[in-house]
Amino acid sequence: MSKPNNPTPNHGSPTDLGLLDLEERRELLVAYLDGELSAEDALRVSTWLDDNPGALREVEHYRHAWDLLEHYEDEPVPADFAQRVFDAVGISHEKREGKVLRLAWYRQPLATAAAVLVAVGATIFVMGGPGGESPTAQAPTTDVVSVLQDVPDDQLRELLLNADVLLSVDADSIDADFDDETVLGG
Amino acid sequence: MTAPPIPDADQVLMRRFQEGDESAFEVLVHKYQGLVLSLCRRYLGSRSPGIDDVAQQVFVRVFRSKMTYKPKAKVKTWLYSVTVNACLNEIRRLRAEKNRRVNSFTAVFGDPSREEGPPAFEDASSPAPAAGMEGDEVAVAVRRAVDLLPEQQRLALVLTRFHGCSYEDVAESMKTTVPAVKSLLTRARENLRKLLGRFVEAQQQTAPEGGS
Repeated sequence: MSKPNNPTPNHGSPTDLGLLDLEERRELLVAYLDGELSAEDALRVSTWLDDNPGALREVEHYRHAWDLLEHYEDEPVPADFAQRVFDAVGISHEKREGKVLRLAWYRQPLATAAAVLVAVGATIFVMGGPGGESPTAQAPTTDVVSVLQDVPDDQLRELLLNADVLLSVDADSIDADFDDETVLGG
Repeated sequence: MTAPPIPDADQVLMRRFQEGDESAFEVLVHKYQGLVLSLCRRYLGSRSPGIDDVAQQVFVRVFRSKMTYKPKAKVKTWLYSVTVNACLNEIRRLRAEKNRRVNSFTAVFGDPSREEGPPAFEDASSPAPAAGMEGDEVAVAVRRAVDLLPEQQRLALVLTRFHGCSYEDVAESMKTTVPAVKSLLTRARENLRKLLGRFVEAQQQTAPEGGS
């Protein structure tokens, strides 16, 4: 807390406390309580209070009233407050989302890589499938595409968005996953 | 020898915001929303039903008037100053609304022969009729006591007591002088002492044991 250079500009020195009128003395005592006096002036006031029990009692009253203010509790900030501010000034949700998407620029290449990985995995599965009887064996690429086309939109989207997860999955687990599917079984 | 002042983190944010970086504004909102709301609530007290709206207006003004911020000022103090202005506008609006209602009443029912003036300093220690239902008696009395203080005193008190502002910061936020702040705080303390008389006396009696 900063201290004014001259804490008692209207009252003279704190050593003259006894000569101050009531209002001036109160102002000085309040500044003392608020920690706004220099260390030297605070010591003078403190010494003066030791010799003036009436004034000391007054100071204690002020202090207790001030302490009671701790019962004035604050309320939490509404969860949507910041969002309402952003809406009001036109920082739109889409714009802010855009920032997130720009930050996640790597998502698109990752999704492409995941699609390729899925295609390769499916091709390996089909080529190594029982007896190569499946028609997909003759035209694996086409069939992988058709398989991907068969995947419902929401699942395909999920698949591509989680490309980074897919990339960390090894080929065996991909095969296992596909074994569970009936799409290629026929 | 005086070294050039080093800008603090808030000043850097404000500069970025002034240069067009809206994400800096977002950081400022998240950082200061609690302080602004708290100041609005305690300054406006129970007078305004739309305290959140006033706080929201503060940030809208900050957004629109960002270029009025001068880098030498503390961002927090500048923000307090914007908040104080928004609250004063709200107080004026409520007062005008009240006057309109009173005028309408007078036009219909005649002069109620009661002067408008500052609230009488009743003893806030004696709880209001509904207070008993609100729980903690001291908390209710304290809230009422702060509400009953005249506006300027209340603002000086809130900035000092709840926001830890120095006299100089309060003076800057209120666009007044340090001696004026001193005077306001002295009267606020004196009024608070009267308003909370019963609790102050009780605390005074237990103080020697409590070591307060």
